[in-house]
Amino acid sequence: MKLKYILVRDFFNIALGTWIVLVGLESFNAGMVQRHLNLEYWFYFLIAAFIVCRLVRKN
Amino acid sequence: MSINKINIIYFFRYLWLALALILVIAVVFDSMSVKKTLNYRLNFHKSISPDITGWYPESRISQASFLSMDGVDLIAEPVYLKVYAPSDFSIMRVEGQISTYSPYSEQDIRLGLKQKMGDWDFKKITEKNFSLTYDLSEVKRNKNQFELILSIPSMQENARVGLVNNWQIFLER
Repeated sequence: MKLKYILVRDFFNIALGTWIVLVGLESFNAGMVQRHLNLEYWFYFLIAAFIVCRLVRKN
Repeated sequence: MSINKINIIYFFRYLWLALALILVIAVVFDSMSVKKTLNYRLNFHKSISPDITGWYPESRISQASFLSMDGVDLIAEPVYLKVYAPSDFSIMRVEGQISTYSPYSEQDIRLGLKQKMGDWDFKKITEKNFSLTYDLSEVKRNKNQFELILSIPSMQENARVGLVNNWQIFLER
């Protein structure tokens, strides 16, 4: 497996896992996360990272 | 795959994991480290901050104030302010200064706190330096935020009301 793909995939997986944890914390206590971080923008970033991940895998 | 490449993979994998862990711990720690009292110093020049949103609508506030000290002008009323409260508090105290050309007895300056039933718990500001205390037992919390209103129903078009940029909000358990 290509080094580049593994690096991008690891980054995406960890970003996704962190986002899920933060969404859980935000649901548990509203405002806890959103005061500091915009989870919506993070979600868009995840979509972009997923696309990059697919493109790297193809090439 | 060479050992060098595997090392690179592990380095970045643990780097991202460490950063993610630090982020989650920082957010949780920030939320849990709430003391019995919380003090917010408001900055009227910055309408959005992590703890305070307002005054809004921004079009009703002029940043160029007639005040000789740091502050903002109220162009129209009412204006609103949201205060973030990370946990349950029983009392809120608002302190600050408000400046106006007309005597305070002629003005009907009111600061209110939104209640569960949708009405406002209004308290009158009767002097330049004021301190108002609110009971939070019936307050409406929306996403852990309280909503304040500053209303001057008798406000004329040419009236000048200045909010000195030294307001503080104290939350107590």
